[in-house]
Amino acid sequence: MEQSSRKDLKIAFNMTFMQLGWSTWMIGIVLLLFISLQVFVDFKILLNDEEAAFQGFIHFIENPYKIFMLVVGILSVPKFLSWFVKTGITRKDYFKGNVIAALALSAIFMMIAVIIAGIEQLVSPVSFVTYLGEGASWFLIFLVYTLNLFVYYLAGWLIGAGYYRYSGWGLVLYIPGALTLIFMMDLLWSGELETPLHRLFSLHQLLSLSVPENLSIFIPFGVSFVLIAISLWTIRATIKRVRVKL
Amino acid sequence: MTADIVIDQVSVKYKKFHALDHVSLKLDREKIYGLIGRNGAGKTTLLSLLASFAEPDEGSIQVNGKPLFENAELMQQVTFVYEKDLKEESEKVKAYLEAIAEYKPNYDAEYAMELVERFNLPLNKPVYKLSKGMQSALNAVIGLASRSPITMFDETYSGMDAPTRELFYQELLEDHARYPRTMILSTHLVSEMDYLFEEAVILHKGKVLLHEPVDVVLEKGASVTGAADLVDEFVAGMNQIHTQKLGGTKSVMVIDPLTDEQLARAGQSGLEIGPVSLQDLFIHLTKEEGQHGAK
Repeated sequence: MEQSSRKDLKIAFNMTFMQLGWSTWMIGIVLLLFISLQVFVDFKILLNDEEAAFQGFIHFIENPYKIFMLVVGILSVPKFLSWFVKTGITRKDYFKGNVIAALALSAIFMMIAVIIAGIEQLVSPVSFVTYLGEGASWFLIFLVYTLNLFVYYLAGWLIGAGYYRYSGWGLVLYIPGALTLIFMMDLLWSGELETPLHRLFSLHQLLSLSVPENLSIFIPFGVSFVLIAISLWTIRATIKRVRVKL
Repeated sequence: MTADIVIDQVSVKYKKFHALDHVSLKLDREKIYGLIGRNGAGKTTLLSLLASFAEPDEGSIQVNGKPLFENAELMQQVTFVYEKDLKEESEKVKAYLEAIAEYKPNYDAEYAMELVERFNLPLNKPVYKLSKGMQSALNAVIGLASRSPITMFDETYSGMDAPTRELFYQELLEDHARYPRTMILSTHLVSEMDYLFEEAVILHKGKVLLHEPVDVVLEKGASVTGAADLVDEFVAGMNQIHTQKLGGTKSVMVIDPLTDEQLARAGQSGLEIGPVSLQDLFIHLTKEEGQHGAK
């Protein structure tokens, strides 16, 4: 048992670093683009929107991060599960290792973003806006973004697992599932959307008042965890005894 | 750790096609098995079950008395080497080997480097740039250096040229002597590999046709060589599976065991008696209707 737990940590470690390695290009290019845009272009003109103005690096890298997580998630089963099983690792150890790696990757991504945003604040302070509202605590931003990146990875993982197991029909079933997951997360966490669900939680207001002791903040977290649990269960059930292609 | 493998009534179906049909086999530890069969006989399917790539649709596989599938302890004792598609492997040979080594408990890195040298593999070349023969050799290195208690080679040698194959067979025998383990070599190149096998398993259309020690198999028949008319007279009424004729000399393969009296008679007639070859037996046993083994 002890040996097996060491093994999924080893898998997690290797997967995290491999995927982090792939991401250096993406982060480098986004950072370069961010700096050059900031130096050469007036954002207000570019966006043609006084309000949007400039919202900082975290906002800027959010979508590239999400797309990266989605794509890497899709690759996980065909690339990693297949390789690990062929190397004599159980599907179970791969699964556990991959969950840890995806979480670690999300957190490391956000640490990088927060550090760069911190430097940005030192160089040229901007009014910092994320979808959690103005003045949300950095810790909360870190936590919620990490959770969201993780969910994008899960969405990709679902699609990859569905396709690997059921090919075409897998896509038909699992893509809507993944989209629902992402849509639900957006509903829960997006401050821009005035959805009924959002109004119900009125997260935006709560956060700008910064009352974490109010229990309502736990509702989006709670629902997120339930969604994550369902996704993880589905992925595990899909690949638990899957035939690995030669 | 070595391993006993018990395959019990295992079936695998791909849609309507029976890839394996109630296969039962017991494989003892530390022996070298030849898994022989024509294309599509079910060799790769059987080996991929032993590598836990898939579960059988029916039946069970146990190793050391425990169910094999998804057993972490057992899975890491198995190495299955086959003609992998490596054209998307951008890693260099060295890194590729190191990544695998990390998950193989018995991997011997020093021996791997020795083999890399012997097979002339370039360590700093990306794997996808290797020629087919070199990719086969790389697979062979992994299979041998992993030193897994259950090591399976699925026609890994078909990409290698003849001298490389010879080198591989030699390494395999030597390393098996140093570190005895259960090895299963699947092949249809029977004639050049038969000396490697301790036991032969012949699969045909998803079924086990034969599973016996090679020396026992070879005693099942004999080749009779000599003057054509004498040979004809001698083998009359016997079960003939292969005939070759060169000028006045004829060689006939029979699969009836010869009695002492027959052997004596052959000696008197000046006929030469040799063992039947595994290759001929294989061809004979897996002959399709309408196809000829004996020409």
